[in-house]
Amino acid sequence: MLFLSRTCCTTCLLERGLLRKCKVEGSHCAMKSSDNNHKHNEISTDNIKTIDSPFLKMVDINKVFPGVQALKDFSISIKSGEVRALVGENGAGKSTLIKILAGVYQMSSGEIYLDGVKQNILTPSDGLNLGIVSVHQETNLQPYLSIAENIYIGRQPLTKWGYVDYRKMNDDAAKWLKELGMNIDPSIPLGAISIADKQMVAIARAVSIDARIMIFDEPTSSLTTAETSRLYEAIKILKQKNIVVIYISHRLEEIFQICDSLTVMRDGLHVATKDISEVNTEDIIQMMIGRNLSDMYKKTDTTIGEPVLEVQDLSVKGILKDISFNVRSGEIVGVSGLVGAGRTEMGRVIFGDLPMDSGKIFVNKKPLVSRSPLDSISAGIGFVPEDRKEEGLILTLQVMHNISMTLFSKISKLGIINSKKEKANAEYYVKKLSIKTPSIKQQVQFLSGGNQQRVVIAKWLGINPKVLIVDEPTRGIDVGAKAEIYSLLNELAKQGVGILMISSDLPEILAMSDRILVIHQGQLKAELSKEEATEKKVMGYATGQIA
Amino acid sequence: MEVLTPKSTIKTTNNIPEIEFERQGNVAKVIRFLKGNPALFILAFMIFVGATLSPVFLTVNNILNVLWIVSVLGIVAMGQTILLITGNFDMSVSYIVGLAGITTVLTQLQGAGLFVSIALGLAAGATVGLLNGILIVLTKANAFLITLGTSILVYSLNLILTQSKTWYSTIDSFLILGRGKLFGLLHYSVLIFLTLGILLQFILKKTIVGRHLFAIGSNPRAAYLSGAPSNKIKLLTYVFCGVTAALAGLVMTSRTGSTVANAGEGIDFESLIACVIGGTSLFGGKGGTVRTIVGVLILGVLSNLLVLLNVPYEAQQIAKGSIFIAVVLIDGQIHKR
Amino acid sequence: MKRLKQILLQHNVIILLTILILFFSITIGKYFLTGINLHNLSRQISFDIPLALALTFVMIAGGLDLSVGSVLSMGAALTMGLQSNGTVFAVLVAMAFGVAIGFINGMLVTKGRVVPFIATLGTMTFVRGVMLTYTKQRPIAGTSEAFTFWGAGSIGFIPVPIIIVLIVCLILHILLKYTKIGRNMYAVGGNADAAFLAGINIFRTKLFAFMVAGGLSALSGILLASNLNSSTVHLGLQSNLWAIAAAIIGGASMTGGKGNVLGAILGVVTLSILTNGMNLIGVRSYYQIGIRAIVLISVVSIDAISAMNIRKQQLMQAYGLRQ
Repeated sequence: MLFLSRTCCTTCLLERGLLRKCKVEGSHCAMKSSDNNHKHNEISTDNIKTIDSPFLKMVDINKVFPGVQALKDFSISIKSGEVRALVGENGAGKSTLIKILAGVYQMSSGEIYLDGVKQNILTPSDGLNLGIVSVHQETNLQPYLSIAENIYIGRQPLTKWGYVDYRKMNDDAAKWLKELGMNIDPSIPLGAISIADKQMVAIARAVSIDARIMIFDEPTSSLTTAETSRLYEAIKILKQKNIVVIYISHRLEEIFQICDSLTVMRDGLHVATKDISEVNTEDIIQMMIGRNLSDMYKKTDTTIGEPVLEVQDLSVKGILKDISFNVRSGEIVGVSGLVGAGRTEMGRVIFGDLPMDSGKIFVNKKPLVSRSPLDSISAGIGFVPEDRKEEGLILTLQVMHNISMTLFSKISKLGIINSKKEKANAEYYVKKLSIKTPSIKQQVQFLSGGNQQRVVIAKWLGINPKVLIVDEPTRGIDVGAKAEIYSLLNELAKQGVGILMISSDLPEILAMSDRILVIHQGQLKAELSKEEATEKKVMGYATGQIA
Repeated sequence: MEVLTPKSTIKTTNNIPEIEFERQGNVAKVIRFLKGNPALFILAFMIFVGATLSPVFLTVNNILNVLWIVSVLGIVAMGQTILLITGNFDMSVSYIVGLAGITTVLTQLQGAGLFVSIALGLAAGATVGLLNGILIVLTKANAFLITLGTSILVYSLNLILTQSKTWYSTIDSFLILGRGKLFGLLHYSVLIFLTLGILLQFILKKTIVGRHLFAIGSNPRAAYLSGAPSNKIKLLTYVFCGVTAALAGLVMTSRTGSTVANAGEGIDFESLIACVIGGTSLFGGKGGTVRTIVGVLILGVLSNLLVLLNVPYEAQQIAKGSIFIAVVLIDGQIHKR
Repeated sequence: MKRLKQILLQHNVIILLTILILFFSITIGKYFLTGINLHNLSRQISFDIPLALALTFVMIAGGLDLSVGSVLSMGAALTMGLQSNGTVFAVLVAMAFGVAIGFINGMLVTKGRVVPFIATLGTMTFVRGVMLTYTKQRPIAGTSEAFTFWGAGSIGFIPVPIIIVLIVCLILHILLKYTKIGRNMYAVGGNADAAFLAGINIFRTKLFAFMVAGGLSALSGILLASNLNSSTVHLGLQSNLWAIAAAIIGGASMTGGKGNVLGAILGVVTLSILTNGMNLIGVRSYYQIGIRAIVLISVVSIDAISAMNIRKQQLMQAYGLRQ
């Protein structure tokens, strides 16, 4: 059984492809062999560290993106064989942190130490060479090659004549899979197995290349209970191999089951690191939010009128089943649920972006018959998508052009655009929504996240929507700007718009919704009023604990 | 156009970084304009070279001649430009050019009048465009391969229709299209070419459809989600390209009054070059028909020079291939996503 | 037995092939199934297979190569034109030329970041121009009778070129299946990001694929020139699209990561039998061109539709197909 310990000599590490021979005579370092000007780091194997000192140390990590600082002097240390949960709301910086560790992003400042030695992780290859592996669902796998080949891609075992030794590859792969509890034939193509199995293949691959740090990012979002248990067993095995495991999840009950400790992040800052035995759910949530719910921006009271949107028995094969609800004028209906539950898909179906297999949709009592975004827009539905950069805006176009995209009828006659009207319209919305931009002709890609989101909303305001579906309205927006978006939504509700707000941000949902819909695995499991909703109840329905 | 560029430094105050913007003065504005339109430089440069190398070059006669020769390519390039802006292209234009001429001449020989035969010729182009559009929009297949396929299909149709023989138009007034001059000076075909270019530019910049075209080319997903009827528009752009190619074919046929099976060969490639040199990106979302006019002129001047200097045909091919590669490389550098 | 079943399942084209063979056997059996016809057919196939292989190679790595026809014509021209300096020399220069163009293609696609079909469209025109200049638009006659053995000769019943090509096929099959660089090609074409994260050098892999394609195109030109004992400007003019169709029929896909040597061979065989059958039936060449076009369009469309369906399937899988 392959077992990586700090007592392993540099020769073994070299053979396993973890080190590259360095130009400096007689030493080894963990840099790419093609990189001749790398900083020479020696992995010292003389001081055998005790089991108590941390294997991974990240010190004062800062990461700045245009418009927002994702990480602020963040530090974390984890020991070998420790399973550390990383918790925090959306935008807390968890994703950014692990991407920096894996080499996908470069930090703006800070230091990373592996086993006491400072490392420069500048590319994903660097991360991989150091044994840092992210287990995503299937983005790192080859769909058309066999399972065994996926495990051994780039380092296939060779026969003594230099050919790929398929038999050895299949046998070795089968061994790794067996260790993780999978009795699958490794010679079958990867495309043939389920997502959960693919995840296990990714883990098998990581284990077989002697990963030292494994990162899981919401791994159980599309797994059944049985598959989740299998994942837990696999993580236990990783623990035994003294691998550092970083586990990001919103499912607090999972964390209690599998993790040794947890680190809470908020707004890019380190809040607390505690042993799992020292905390309970309420503590964690309190640390995550950091403020009382009553301090959060709240939904203002509005007159709630007739239903502007009615959905009956909406079903999409394999994704949604028999969803029925309504949204009334002046109301904000929050949609909560885990990633992958089907919330965004529900929004897209209503907007006409995803075809539905059965069901009926009514806007102001009128049935919505044809199914395309254009038809939904004509009926008065607007859609602020999750990914504003890819789906909500055209980044290379001006602010003005983006705002005009939906309301050509207002600013044009016979198809010809009246530039004066267009300009006036754009300036009106920039003022009304306080969009910070040097000019309406500025390309939106240069605006900050919060301002970009305001441009998207401005675009939809132009159609005088009766229903506005917003998906993750404050994702990637810093706290100050968030409050302004909330006030915008409140303003819209006051004017009679019915808002369907899809969000993973629990405090946001609880503060802003008049009613909360909870979706679990494609079905509407609960509809809670503002008064009866609590985080525990919502999470309970969302995770399926409450049936 | 007032455009602001971000300074490279990111200042951080209260942990929220700000990107500073500089306003640019008028001089900078002019420089920016020139930088954004390198094609004008190239054209100016080539005219300069031409004037020095050949005494005949800058004569009114030669200039008008170049314009006349280039107008067929120019008309095709107009349709291609529209397609490129939406992120597609059409490699079947060459044989659509042929098909239109063949249809028109053959129907004339069957007794059809001037306008009917012209209408049928244009309809033929529209039909092929429709076929292209349907295949590409429905299957989301590689536009390049599909249009190459239809290109061959149309070629075989041309062969079948002409039986490899040359056919002559029977209506004299038809020849006015290709040979006639306005006020005895400017060929009608040049007029059509330039007018089309300016008209389309207006549509691109000032109408809803134009905006949709750019949006679809830049980010088809966002455009779709904002209510642009993407599929319909893409289909129509292909039909439009088919019609412009057909129009070019009619102009070409009416110059000689005759048509052959392989008429129009090579125009697909040349129209792409012209568009890209002019500044329309192969990646979609950028460009314009006025720019393409410049690009077409550049190609025209180049060919004219090569002919005046007695450069053989094969070398011209090498030149065209190299220029295409160079231009595409630069296009990739500028418009890389 | 299990292997045979696997191969049959993988290559749907065998069904199409069987249908075609049956159809032609029934309608024009006596002309179709003769020794002479099959002999000629296999010779023709041997000239087309290297092109289909070239396309298959670059498509596996996720690219496309339109310059194969032009390289073929220049390869033939060089083989004939330099023959007076020695046949071996001429062949080597031709091969070197093909590989060099492949190198240029590869560099344009990797370092130049140019989309493959645009890049190879450019080199296609460029090489064609080079060829026309070199040959002065006239055919070049060969000077060595002995050289024609390779293209026009036979060993017993079997044409020589098909033997050569099959040997090349064997080598390339081993390369694709049993060497690291071969497996890397599949990875780069199947999921370039994953390949990069696995430490595979994407530039080098793609460059290799294009260079092999260039060499194969030149090989086809050399064999053709040997067969005709001359080179003409028309060689390879329409070959590009036919090679693409053969590759796709054989299992390669525009999306990359798929395809193999056997598929390329089967694709060529299928299309050649189609052409041969049409000739024997007496379908006129104008219509044949049209039918070829329809085949190409259908093949490309079906490939695109199946790619769409695979994406949909993957999306459905992500939801674990609840219910």
